[in-house]
Amino acid sequence: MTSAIRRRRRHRPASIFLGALALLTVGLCLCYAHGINASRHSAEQAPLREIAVRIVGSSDLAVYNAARYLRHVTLTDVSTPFQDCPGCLDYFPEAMSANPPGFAGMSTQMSFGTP
Amino acid sequence: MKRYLNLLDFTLYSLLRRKWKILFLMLLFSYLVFLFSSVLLLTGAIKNEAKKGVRALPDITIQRLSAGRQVPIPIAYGEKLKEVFGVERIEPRIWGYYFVASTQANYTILGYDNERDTWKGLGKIVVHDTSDLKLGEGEAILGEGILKDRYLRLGQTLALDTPSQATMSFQVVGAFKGVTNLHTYDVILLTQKDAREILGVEEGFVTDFGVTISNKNEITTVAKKIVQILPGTRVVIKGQLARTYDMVYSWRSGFTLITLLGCLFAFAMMVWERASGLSAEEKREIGILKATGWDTSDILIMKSWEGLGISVASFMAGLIVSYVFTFVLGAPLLKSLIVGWSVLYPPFTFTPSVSPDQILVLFSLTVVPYLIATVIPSWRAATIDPDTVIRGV
Repeated sequence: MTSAIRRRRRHRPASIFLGALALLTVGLCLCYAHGINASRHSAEQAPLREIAVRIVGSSDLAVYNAARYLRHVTLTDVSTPFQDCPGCLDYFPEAMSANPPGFAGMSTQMSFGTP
Repeated sequence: MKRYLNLLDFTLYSLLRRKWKILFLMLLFSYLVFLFSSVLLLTGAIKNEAKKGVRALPDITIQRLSAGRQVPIPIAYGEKLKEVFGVERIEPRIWGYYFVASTQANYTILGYDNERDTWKGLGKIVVHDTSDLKLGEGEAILGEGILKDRYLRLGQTLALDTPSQATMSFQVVGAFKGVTNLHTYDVILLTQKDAREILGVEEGFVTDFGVTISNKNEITTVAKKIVQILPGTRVVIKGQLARTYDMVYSWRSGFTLITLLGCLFAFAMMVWERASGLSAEEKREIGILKATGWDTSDILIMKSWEGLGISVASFMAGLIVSYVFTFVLGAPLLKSLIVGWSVLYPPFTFTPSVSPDQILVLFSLTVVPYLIATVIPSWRAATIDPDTVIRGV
């Protein structure tokens, strides 16, 4: 009987709850450690990226290249439709939505003149 | 301490009686924290990624406008720029886009000058066969995206058309290293002469000028002077470019957060519902505790434990899951919404950039209201006569 009470006391809900909170805290600490490690890794690569930016001449990310006016969001080029401010709000769906599905029987390529 | 632990024990036993309801509540709480923090973490990371490069940019970019549209700028403007006091370096740049109909992708073509000191260091970011990398005429260095798009390898030939439909061939002498993918994935580096021919930029003109200022505190003053001596030009300073990233990515995350507002409202309604009154069962429990000799302070401690336990544990769990989702798994689905998609999409992972103020805002929007909603009605019930509470009058 006494041992049963002791066992129950050892597993009192407060201990389990505080243990779970401690585990979550450890989880957050691990995330923090991962962040520090990733930042260090990124800092090691930073000089190479700076050279790339200096050579390319723009810090814009090469993630939008289906539309010319989105490739460089901070700088306009000859074909940019909205030239009034750097980084005018984009409206092209590429910039902020998932890739559209293909439409059956419909060509997605643009062509000019007689085919 | 022992008293608090005993109260915590009692609180947890009380919660276990409603375990499914509490579990659902905690899941909902964590999900809400996960959704909002994922958007905030991802936006912070992408902004940080874009802003990192701003340091290496020229302080001022000068473009020429004609009839409200950007046109190539005469290289002779460079001579006028030299006269402006405070200008340290002037870089005439030739760059533009090359559309490939078959893949619907735009390559970015850049003119490179081996002689310019500011553009040194190319060999460090390029994989190449020779020990000394010097870009010559008829040679090209490609981003990884173009190599994949054109199924090319080092030493092979890339064919590009000039505006007059003449085809020019370039030997691939190097490829940008993967570490620079975010900036070079769709880039073709040619000599300035070759870039001029492919882009159709006439002799005596360049696309724009990059200007470096010796005293960084004088950037705005120098920019104003440049506008005066070169009317018809657009002068963009580096600070504006950094603010552009804030604007572009903040509006995207704002748009995404608006679509998630429904969840926040549902959560707020749940909190409101709780704050407006306890259930009959909870009231009866408080009444019985008071009748058996519990103080109001004991009941408040118990209810604080309950509120803190549920909200803090859920908040921490939501935060951990969102971190793993964003920075370990690469934020599938959400990445498309915030960062977008593309024809040539570089593979990349985000460097964690967690802003404590964002976490604090999220904490105050979720944990604090929940705590208030748990403690205040309990305090109201605890101050009423136990007999009245138990009878449910």
